[in-house]
Amino acid sequence: MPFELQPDLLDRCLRGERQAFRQLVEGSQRYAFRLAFRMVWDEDEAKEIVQEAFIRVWKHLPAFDRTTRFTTWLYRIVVNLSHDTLRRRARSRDRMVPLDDARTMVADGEESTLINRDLAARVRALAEDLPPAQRTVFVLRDLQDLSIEETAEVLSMSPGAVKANLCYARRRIRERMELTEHPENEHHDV
Amino acid sequence: MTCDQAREVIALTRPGETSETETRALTEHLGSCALCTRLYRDALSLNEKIAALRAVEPVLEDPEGLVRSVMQIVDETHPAQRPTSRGRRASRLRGRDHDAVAPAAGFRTSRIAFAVAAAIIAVFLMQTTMDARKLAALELRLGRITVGTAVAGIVEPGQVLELIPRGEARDRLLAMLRSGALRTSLNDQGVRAYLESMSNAAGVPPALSSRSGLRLTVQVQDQAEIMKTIDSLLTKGGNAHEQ
Repeated sequence: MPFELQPDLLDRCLRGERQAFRQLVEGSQRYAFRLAFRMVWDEDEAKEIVQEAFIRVWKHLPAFDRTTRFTTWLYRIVVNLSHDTLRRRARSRDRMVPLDDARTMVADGEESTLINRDLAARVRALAEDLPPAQRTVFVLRDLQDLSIEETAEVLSMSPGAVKANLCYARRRIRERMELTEHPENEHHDV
Repeated sequence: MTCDQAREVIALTRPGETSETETRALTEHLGSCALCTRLYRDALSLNEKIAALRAVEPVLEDPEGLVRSVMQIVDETHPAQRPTSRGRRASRLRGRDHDAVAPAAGFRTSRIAFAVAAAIIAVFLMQTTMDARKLAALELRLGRITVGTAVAGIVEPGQVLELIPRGEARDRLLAMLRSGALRTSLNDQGVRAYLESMSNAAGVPPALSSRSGLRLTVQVQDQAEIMKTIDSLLTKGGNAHEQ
């Protein structure tokens, strides 16, 4: 896990110190954002997820099990909120038209937006078809660089289940990559 | 090492993650198994591609803005959660605590007010379909517009068009409201007051979270009028809204 907490930061947050909570948000928001973005591929939604995640952290901090690492807990909240977002998106997909065309037309030209858009397209192309568990394991393990054990902890899965999901995810991603690189190999049903 | 063991290592580990013993056993196995060697090469190639993807990190724009919005919502919505009983005792012993969060009076009332407003909006739902391309064009002028979630497009009868005004988009929306180009199902004065309060407050609107109950929902009530506005913006090269 990339973010290391100051030892007394959570205690200070529990005492209601706003400044301590601000430090907590400042220190961990980038990691939370990266995860949320890689899960939902949308900058605005990722920001909303991160915002909501920290509100939940604040609200439920007294009940936080201190034997768990804070980052594990934060990642778990972000993953759950991301799944909620993806479910909402799936429900509305049948009656809405994606704005991909419009997004490519947006000419604000900000570098970070371009980076995010390009990254979203690349991750989406590989992982969009994966079932939620496989996609989440792939994002946590291969993109967020968590270990098998850390991934298992975040997802409350056994390490064996993480490994199985990762195997399937990588196999499908490899197939997607091969198809992208060699589209002539795509199998068409007649 | 058996083929099964080798394939598990190949499938699940990245270079440098295997122990010395595993590496030695794997190397030995690969020397005698052509199929596992091919799988190993495939895995290396995949790992390289994934590593390249991992190296590109999403960019969080305006991190300070996000911190401010979180802190603002925390102040407004969850003050009663803090501090813990242990913290409260400590605060009482200290007499005062400048960092402790104070309850925000009236928040519940404002939430109820917005819930009522949302109900009113539902009554005035737009009964017509908006052309997706024109909505996309409107986004170019206003910034991000979402209908429901991440995707936007055709606004069907029964849907509410949500505008999430931020920064420049908020200013443009405000300008459109002032000029009468955009009407809302809410009382216009109320929406204006809300947007004004946001534009006066430096930084992020009071709440961006869809769960906070404070997201501004604006309904485009007059289909013909908004389309006329969009057409006007398009024909003027996109600068009309800044006049």
